[in-house]
Amino acid sequence: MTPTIAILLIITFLLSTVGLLLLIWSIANNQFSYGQSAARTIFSPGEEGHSEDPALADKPDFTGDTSAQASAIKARWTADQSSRTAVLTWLSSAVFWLILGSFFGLVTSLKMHLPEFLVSSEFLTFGRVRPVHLNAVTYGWASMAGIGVALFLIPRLFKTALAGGKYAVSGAFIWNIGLVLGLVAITLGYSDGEEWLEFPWQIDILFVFGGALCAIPLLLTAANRQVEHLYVTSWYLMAALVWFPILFLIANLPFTFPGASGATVNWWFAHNVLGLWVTPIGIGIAYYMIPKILGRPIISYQLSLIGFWSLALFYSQVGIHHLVGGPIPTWLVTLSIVHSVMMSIPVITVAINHHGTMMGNFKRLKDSPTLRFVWIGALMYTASSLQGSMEALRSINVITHFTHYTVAHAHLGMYAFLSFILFGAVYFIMPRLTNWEWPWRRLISLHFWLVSIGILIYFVSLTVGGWLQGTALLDAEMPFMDIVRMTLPALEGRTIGGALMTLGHIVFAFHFVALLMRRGAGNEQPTLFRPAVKEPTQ
Amino acid sequence: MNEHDQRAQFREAPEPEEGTRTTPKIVLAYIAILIVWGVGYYAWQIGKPLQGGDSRTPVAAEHQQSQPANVASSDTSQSTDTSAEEASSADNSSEQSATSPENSAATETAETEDTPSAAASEDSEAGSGSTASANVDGEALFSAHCSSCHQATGQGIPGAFPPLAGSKWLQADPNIPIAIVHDGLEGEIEVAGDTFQGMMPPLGGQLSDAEIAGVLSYARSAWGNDASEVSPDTVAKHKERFGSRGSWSADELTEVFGEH
Repeated sequence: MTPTIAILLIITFLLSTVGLLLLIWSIANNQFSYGQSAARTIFSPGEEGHSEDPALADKPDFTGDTSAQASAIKARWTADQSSRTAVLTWLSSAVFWLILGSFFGLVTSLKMHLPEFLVSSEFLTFGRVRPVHLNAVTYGWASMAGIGVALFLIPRLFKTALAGGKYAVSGAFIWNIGLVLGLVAITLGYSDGEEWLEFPWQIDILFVFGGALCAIPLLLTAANRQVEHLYVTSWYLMAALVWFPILFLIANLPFTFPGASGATVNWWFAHNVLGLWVTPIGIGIAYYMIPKILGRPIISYQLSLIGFWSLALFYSQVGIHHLVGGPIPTWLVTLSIVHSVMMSIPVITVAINHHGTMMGNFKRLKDSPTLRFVWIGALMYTASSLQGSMEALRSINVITHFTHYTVAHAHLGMYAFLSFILFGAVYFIMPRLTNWEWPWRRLISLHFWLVSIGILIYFVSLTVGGWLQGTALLDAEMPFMDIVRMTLPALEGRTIGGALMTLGHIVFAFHFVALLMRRGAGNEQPTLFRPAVKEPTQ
Repeated sequence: MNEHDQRAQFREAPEPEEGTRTTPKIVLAYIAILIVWGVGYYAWQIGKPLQGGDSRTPVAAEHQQSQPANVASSDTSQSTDTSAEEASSADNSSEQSATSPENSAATETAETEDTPSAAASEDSEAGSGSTASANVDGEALFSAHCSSCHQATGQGIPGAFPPLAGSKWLQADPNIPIAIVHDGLEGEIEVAGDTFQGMMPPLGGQLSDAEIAGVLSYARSAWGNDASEVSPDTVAKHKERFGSRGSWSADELTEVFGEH
């Protein structure tokens, strides 16, 4: 790298970082009069310290006696009713795609160690089932569930009704049609041939349309908001819903990025799907659910500010670390490595905020399914992000690149972080939309343990196997086939973990449908991991 | 709207809000350290070659040097000795970033304990280290130019790339392998009882006479092969005789140089 390029990079880096810190300082110190005093306005009087915890039975119930409390309940009720149809449409579709995507993932995993499995049909070859798995779980499960939860949370956060919910419903239909067409196209062999961008660009138009139809109600709702201060969850959700359409549109522009620039845009997009789309959704939900279930505030407004704005500044350049060693300019790779490491700033601030709020309340994990799923998800966000920062460094990348280690890391992020938080959110949301409690608490336990043990086996076996594979690949004297054979136990471990996760998803989907059909008792009490002490029948 | 229609909404905690705790000093210190690190990392890259790389090639080269030319002897123990191999290569890669001399010393002693011909391998290691400029390192050239197809073990890949270990073409009259490496080979060829249909690119433009001679001498004596060394002069004569020509076929080779 020439000194000129390095000096330009250093100046840009310093200006942007210092500028950002100044911005955060200004907001935190009320220079724009949006500071902490404004934050208090969302707090309805007398609402503190009430929660779903049965162990807190000695505390006075939140009865809604005062007019302030009554109006707070009314606001929630109005918000939930207005978003009901749209949220149910998006969430139900997401659960369907979760099941489909899991089965394709399982088939892909089996093919890695049973290469003769299902090879008689060209539609079920590895090169087609793997992208079907990836696209079904990313755009089907994660994105649709994320949009569904965002549609639920945003009216609540803005204390108003969701405006134009029917646009969101039709958006869900168009999105689903896009998924069906896109997955069929991949199965038939019509793929754009770039990871995360496999859907043919003609079909991508449907996603842009469906997503835009979702943006309309959210923008209308934001314009109608009844609060002066925006809670941190709404920053993340609104930002994600602005960022993703831009990313998706640019990356899918046909005929624009040939050759190496195509690869650069490809990984810029693919990593931004994680960092600027599902990560803000996941963090935003955790920022809402953790204090909501605990009934106590997130500890620090300043840390929220640093976490959000540093994510916004640093993330977009991170993806190029997938091309370390590739035929693209060195300065671009170096920039990406520095920004990958800088990403530990938002990760650590968010971690302090989430886990600091949990501090002293860990016993609540025994009861609340939402809290347990969401908190584990938040913890795995911390773990997978710090791991990702490490993997970007050249000395570690040389070992982990092109190995199963990367696959384990990706699932730690997309599954143990994001999917766990989405599971927790679905457990929270559904009773509020259907006015019916989850039918069987044991099914929630079963779901939790299946997916937790599944992802644990998955992650450990691929991490260990991938690291050994990476070190072996650097050994020029080791025959390639020996290395392939060496990874077989790890690949079989992955299939076992994946099968447990798929089983957990079937339990979850069954329970979801049972709730929609109003099976079970429809209790007065929330369905918790342990029978609630106040439950009259026990 | 009665109470039962909103029981979940009724019992839940208030909408969340943010607390007023200030940013811990340690977080601010961490941000400051990272900014300094970022500037330093950019500055550290000044003058580094524009390879965009992940240091993969240097690691391979270093590995070649620290692992002496005992391939032939350790050939059989290779597959069983997997863990030792991995450990040493892990050491090599950490060396790449952290440069700890004790580490590499430990690797070497571990290796010499493993190998029965300890003295011999130390000698050849010292040799290969110092000869990088004077002589040609045939093994390193092989690893860089040939091993991706013919494999480091010289076994090739069944059905795709012919083996070099035990190949009669390689061990025949030196003019035959010189012709193949210098000008390339195309079409059907029978090696060690199997027929291969493929194409080998000409390397005459990339390798000097001495390098072609060096890599052939290495291949002709590795993996149990036992044929004479090839001198750079033979390569020069080949160039004089045929100039720059296209790829050979197996039939042409037999026709021009006789039966192998």
